[in-house]
Amino acid sequence: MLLRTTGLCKRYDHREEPVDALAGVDLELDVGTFTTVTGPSGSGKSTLLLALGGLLRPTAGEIWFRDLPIHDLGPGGLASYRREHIGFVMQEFSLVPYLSAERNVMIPLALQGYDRATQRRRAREVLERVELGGRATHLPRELSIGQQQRVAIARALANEPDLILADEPTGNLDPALTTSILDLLEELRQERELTMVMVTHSPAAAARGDRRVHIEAGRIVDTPRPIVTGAVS
Amino acid sequence: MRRLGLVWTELKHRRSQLVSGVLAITLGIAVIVAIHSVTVVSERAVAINLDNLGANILVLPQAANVDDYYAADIDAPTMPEEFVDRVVTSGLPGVDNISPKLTRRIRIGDHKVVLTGILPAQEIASKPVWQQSGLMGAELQLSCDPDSAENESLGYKDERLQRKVIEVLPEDECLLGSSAATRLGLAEGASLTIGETTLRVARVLEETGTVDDGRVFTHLHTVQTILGAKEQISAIEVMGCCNAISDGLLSELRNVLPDTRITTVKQIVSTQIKTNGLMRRISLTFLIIVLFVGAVSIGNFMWANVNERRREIGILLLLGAPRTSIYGMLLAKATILGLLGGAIGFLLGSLAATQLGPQFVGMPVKMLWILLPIACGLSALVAILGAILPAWIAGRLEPFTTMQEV
Repeated sequence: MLLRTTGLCKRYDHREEPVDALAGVDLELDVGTFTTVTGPSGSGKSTLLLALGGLLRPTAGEIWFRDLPIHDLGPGGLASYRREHIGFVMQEFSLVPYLSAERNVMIPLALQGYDRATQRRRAREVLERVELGGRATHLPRELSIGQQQRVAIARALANEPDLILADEPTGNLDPALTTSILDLLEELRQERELTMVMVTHSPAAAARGDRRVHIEAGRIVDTPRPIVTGAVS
Repeated sequence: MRRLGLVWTELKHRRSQLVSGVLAITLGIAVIVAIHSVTVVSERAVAINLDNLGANILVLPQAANVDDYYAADIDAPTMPEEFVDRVVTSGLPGVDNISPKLTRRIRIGDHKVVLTGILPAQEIASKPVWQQSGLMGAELQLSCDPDSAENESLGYKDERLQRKVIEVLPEDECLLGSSAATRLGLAEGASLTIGETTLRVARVLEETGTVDDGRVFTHLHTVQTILGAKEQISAIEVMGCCNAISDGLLSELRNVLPDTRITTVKQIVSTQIKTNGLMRRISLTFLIIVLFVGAVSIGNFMWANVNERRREIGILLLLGAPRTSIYGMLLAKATILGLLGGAIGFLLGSLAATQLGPQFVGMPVKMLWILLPIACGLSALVAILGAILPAWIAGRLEPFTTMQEV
């Protein structure tokens, strides 16, 4: 078991009435599985992803990453958890605009304290893997949208995370690019035996997961059996 | 990639912001450096003027008239010569030389002259014309005057010659002021009889245009004998270090010699002293303004920068940057801005001082390199103070909210 939530709740205070974005989510993620999360807008799927990534503190419930109680960690502990175990791929690519592709990928490595040579070598390796070796010195604005998302994926992989959290990674892409990016993510996940959770609106993208989780009003309402068997464990 | 590298890359990426960020602090530092550079030279000019005058403090008996500094010793009441010992033994810092005098108007034949008794080893040959008359003596060791190298570096001529003392003046010799020599019809080598004392004229001094032209200078003990005023003097000329005078040497002298009148030639350079004081106050005012405006300006800039970079900061937090790392990057950025502002401000201020300063003080103004680290340090400190709050706020941003702000 890589990650487990029990009774996970997140309540947002609002002027008129509080909003329960998560209302008791129980979820278990095994090593090497690919879980897709679907649900209508405002159902709580992105909130679940943020909570799993240590980006917001749950109002109630527990999140365990192996033996690490994520729900109990302070800001420093959560930063360390993200730095060492999590790779994020966001809808908006999240690249620093004035840094080259290579230097964007070097950020998580720099935060982990690797020396400059190691940062550069590993950044080059992952950029080569996402077929952007020739674009390492390009700024984000000099890259196409698909290339920018590949840089974001490369950055998510740079620190060799245990868990990839992807929030609508193809939300801004056309169908051809969407297929290309999803194929890349799937290839990388399988070759690196990564655990991945992907929030998506797209049924086609959701169908790629070993396991599909559907959320409505902050609750998992349907947990189909894995449609792809033989997940690496 | 290092965090400082990230800061530097971001600064280069936003050059126009970099310029506007450092502008206020640069201008503030430039004004302070310019004023301070000119003030330093101006103060030095006052110090040199005072020091070059030779004796600059006059100690007189309580009843003496001090309307005319240079003639105050003439016909003044007397005081004990022991007062000299009191000053010597007091060990006051900044007292470089003490020359007691006894002066009286006397009549020699049909002519009135001023007879002044001096102690040769202590009498300052403070007037250039005395030097020109060949009265070379031992160089006086001064506590605070600029050496020749410093004088030359500031563009002044080397005035050390004026601070030599008359080393030898036998008790049976005298020096004649030019008009006294003319009136008495005496030349060098002639004899001058005063009462029962005969003196040989050792030197006729060149015309100075002062009351000294009418004086006959001879040994103090000779004058005391002639006037029957044993161990009495009418004045003590003190050569005090200018800085020591500013720091209260007069008060300390008054404590040592409570029953005397003590005055200085400070009035000669009083205008310049007042100007220096004014400039010092302006400099201080600007310092306060720069501290305030600079900190507000940098703070405002950093605040705008943090708001503009919320998304970038969110990315860094998302990737696991600890809050301390965000604080560190923003404070490092402020430090770079401060150092840049300080260095550029120093250069601009020094340029203004060297180009415009001479018109204010009438002396060449040189760059004071010692101000460079001070300017940079002050500027960096101000920038850091201004950036603390924005940095703290940036470190507390929530990555998931900033990531949603596109």
